[in-house]
Amino acid sequence: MSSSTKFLTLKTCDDKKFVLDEAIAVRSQTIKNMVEDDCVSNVIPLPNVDSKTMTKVIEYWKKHSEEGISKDMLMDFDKAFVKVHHSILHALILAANFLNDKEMLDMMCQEVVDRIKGKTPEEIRKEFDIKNDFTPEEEEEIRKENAWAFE
Amino acid sequence: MTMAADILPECLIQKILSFLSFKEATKMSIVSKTWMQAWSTLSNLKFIVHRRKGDIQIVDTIMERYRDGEVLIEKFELSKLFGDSHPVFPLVDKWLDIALQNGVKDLILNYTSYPTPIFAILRAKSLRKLILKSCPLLPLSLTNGVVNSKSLRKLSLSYVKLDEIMLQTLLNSFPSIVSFMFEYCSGLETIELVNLQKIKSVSLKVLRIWDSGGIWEIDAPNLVSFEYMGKLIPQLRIARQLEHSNVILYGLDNVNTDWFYKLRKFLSSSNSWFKVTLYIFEYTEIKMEHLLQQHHRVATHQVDILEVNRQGQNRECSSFVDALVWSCLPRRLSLQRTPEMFTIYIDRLMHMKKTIQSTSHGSSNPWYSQLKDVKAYKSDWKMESWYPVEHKSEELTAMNLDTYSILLDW
Repeated sequence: MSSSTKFLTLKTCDDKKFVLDEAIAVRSQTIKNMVEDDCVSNVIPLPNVDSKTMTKVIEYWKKHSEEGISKDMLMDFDKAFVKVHHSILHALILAANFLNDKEMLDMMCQEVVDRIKGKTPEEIRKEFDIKNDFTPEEEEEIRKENAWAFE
Repeated sequence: MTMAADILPECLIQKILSFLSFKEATKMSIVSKTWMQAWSTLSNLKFIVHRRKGDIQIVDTIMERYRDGEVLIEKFELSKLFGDSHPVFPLVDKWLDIALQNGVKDLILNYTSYPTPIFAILRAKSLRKLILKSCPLLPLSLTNGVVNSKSLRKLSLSYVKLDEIMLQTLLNSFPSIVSFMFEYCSGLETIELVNLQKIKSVSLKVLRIWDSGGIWEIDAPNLVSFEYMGKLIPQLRIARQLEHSNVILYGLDNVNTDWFYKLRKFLSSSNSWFKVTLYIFEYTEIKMEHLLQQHHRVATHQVDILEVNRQGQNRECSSFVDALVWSCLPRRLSLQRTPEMFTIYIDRLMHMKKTIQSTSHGSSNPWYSQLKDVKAYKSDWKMESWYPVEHKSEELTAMNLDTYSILLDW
């Protein structure tokens, strides 16, 4: 490892600290901007990300920064990476959005889309634990208005 | 910890919805109020209109809702739009009008019927990207053609028929264009003469001209990416080195001394070229001494990969190899599927190498005096790995259906 390797310390909302190679951490555009604007003191606080989620994010970043890794290996890794409970999936989407890692965000959103496709609204609510806050009358109204989509 | 999709902010739900077709996204509106809200202000609209009458009515209802609610439209995509359905044309006029009124940035149209009022579209101040596939254009005579679109950054035309006047009027209409794609467009080539198409732009960075007739004269000092496929060598004036390039010249049935001169002149417009592919049918006698007289400056450009596909009857001769190497200065010469051809190339290149070694102390250096080393490789049929091969003719002729590569160290 060259002597010029710089490390950053990231602190999640539950006060856990992660020490990470700067070259890897700047996959986050948010962190990159902070580094470039020189507003990095000792610790970078990540108020919107918890340690459990950050551990996953760092796992992804490290894998995608590995030297000499083949495209096929990355594809297998990504495939396995997104196979998580929807609560983790959503936490990762929020984290990727906050950290501004477009590649990761797109991949996680695509996974949500893949889980949505071909399902009825009821099945989707169940899959993602979404509470139906429409009254039966409201729901009927929307169904009628957009009947073409429910054919 | 319970995290539900319900707590995703609206912008992220919209991002997810934008991955879906509009129909699928509409289905999601019923999931919850948050999803409904996200759906109703979705700024990406993608419609595929089939022949069925219902489709047209649905699009019309949605577009009216966006108009009445003044909902922002960022991206509007309309495709299929079947047949000569003239009664639909006024509706398409109306939809495009709503999209343009509501601030559309990206407009993608893909159909073969409705004559697109391109200059009316280009007047929209918000428009940044316009992609037209197969669309007929409303003739210039029916429009007030003069537009000055300062917002448009990217224009892509594919399978669009347009004549020279239309093209020139278009090119003059956007002074800030960054990316221009022009693929499989017909109407520029006339039988009697080859029209010269001029592109002059200071802002242009990305240019792709793919199999669209005519001879192109490109004056774009800030160009960084250039892709070209055609039968004729374009003229290129740029001020900086290209970062990306891919040039394919095909249907070459009149390759001669002058052609190689033109090729070298064209390639000398950038210091490095990523890939140049040539499909050569026939060539006539090449006089190297004429080339060397006309162009005796030391070349500064190099081609990373030069791919040569030979389709004609006549066999390679050493002056052809010389002219090819002289005009392109390739680092890697890739040859398709002819062991005999490979033998001629490698023999000639080895001869050059030997000549340099033997004249290294002499006063008159040959034009290829920069050539340090020549190595030959062949790949297996899957193109997965490359093997070094000996430069012996007998061994080579035994092989076939392989791809050969010669690495040249300059």
